[in-house]
Amino acid sequence: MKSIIKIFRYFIKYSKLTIARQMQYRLNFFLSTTIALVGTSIGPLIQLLIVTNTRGYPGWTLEQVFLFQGILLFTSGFSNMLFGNVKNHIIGLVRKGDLDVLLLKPIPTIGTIISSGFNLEQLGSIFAGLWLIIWASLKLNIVLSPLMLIAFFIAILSGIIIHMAINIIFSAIAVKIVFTGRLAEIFHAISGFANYPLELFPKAVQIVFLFLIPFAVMVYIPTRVLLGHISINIITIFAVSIMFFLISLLIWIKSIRKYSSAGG
Amino acid sequence: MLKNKKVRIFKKLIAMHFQIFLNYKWGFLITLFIVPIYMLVDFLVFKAIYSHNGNNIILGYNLKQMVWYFICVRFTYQLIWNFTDQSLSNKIISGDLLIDLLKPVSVSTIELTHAISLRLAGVLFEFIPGLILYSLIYFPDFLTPLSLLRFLSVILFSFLLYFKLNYLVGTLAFYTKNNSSFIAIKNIIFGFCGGALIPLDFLPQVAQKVLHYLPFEYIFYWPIQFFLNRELVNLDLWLKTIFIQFLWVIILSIASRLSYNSALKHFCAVG
Repeated sequence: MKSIIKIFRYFIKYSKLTIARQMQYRLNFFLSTTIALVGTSIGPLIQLLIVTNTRGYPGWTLEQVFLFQGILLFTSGFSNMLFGNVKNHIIGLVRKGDLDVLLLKPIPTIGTIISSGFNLEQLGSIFAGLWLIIWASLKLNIVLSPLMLIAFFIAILSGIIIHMAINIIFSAIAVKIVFTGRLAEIFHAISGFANYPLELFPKAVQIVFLFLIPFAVMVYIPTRVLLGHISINIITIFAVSIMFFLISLLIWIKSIRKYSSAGG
Repeated sequence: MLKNKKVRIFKKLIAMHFQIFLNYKWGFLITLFIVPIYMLVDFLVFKAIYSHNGNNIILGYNLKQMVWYFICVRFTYQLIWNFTDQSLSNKIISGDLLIDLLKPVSVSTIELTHAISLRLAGVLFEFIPGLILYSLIYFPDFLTPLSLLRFLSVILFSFLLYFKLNYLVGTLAFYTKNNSSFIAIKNIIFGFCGGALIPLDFLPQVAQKVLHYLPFEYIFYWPIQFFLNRELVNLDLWLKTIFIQFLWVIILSIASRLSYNSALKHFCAVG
């Protein structure tokens, strides 16, 4: 428990420093946030073009697709705000040999690494996502019941836990293979499955991305909850995300035990 | 005599840069693992869309052509991509541009040789093995030797267009030092207006007409049309595309030269 509090404090301090650093270059910050906003808005625009030029996705109306896209932008923006810099941070640590310094600190190394991921530039994506969620919810006449709200919160939390686990697995692999040139791209490619409604994929793929590599939990489940499908066992989904997180920690522990630094 | 010397330097620089990129062959080869994952996602998503649409053709593309459209986007990047814009910015910030300015060849030539050797490695480790591997996974039965040749010929000009536009963005670093925001904007514009994110056929007619007057679609969209061997493709269109690309290369060459000459006055290195 003490370690968790220490990590949380570290996260707050590091985040404050990051904000202060980014505010030193306000024009660059403003431009980066605007670009993130414009860049992330391209996704919904492409979905609009696909849906209006075809009959869309089976079982999904345009408004529902927008709701899905809004949650995609919001969760990815929020998770990237919390952990966006982790990948670059760990790559830098491994390359420069600075990981050794972290190993000597009195808090869990992976906690320190994960706490160093804060990136405020994702605000644009979060706002774009929120706007889309509100717009689609109004169009779909979604009325939030307290139960739906709790389920939605758990679903979002599960997504953030999975996002954190993905970053831990990435860090574990980065420590192990050192050569990390395009590792992030592999993760990005696999997470592509989470960017579409699960119904588009065969049953086997759905099971894989719900329970084995639960990327679909990040967007699909919160969307289904808002659409009134609370029958999805949200507690199971939460348990899956916790399991995935624990597995990622095991992978990290196994990887760091074999870490040999620059001396071999 | 002087021309021969310049050609020799040009060749030497390409060989030298290529040698450096050879060290990163595994970085290039990872593409062969990444692209099939994207292929699978695109295939499953579009299979569901086509099936739901109840039609074998959407906007003139069958399912196979649609999936290969996005593979071709990656091929195009593998054949044209360079980071001249970033490179110029880095050199201006670090002051290394000063060393380039003392060399007997222009900065633009150095960057061009860098881009050429980078893409030679891309052809060797990404494009050729990729074309073979992805064809084995999902055979492109629409592809003929002629359509492949047309694609490759058009892509040469796409490379030059992309390089010139990148160089132009790179010159902005003389004013701003860090041009990462401009690069990000450029990537969004290139991707969307060039047809790298979605085939331009999905855009409204008005937008398509406007894009005809801009260079971006000649970087991605048109080369891909030749690869996909679509019905609209013929000899006239091929010649027309090359001609327009050539014109754009000339226009952008002049623009980047003017921009560089004017921007260089703002360069100041410590020491």
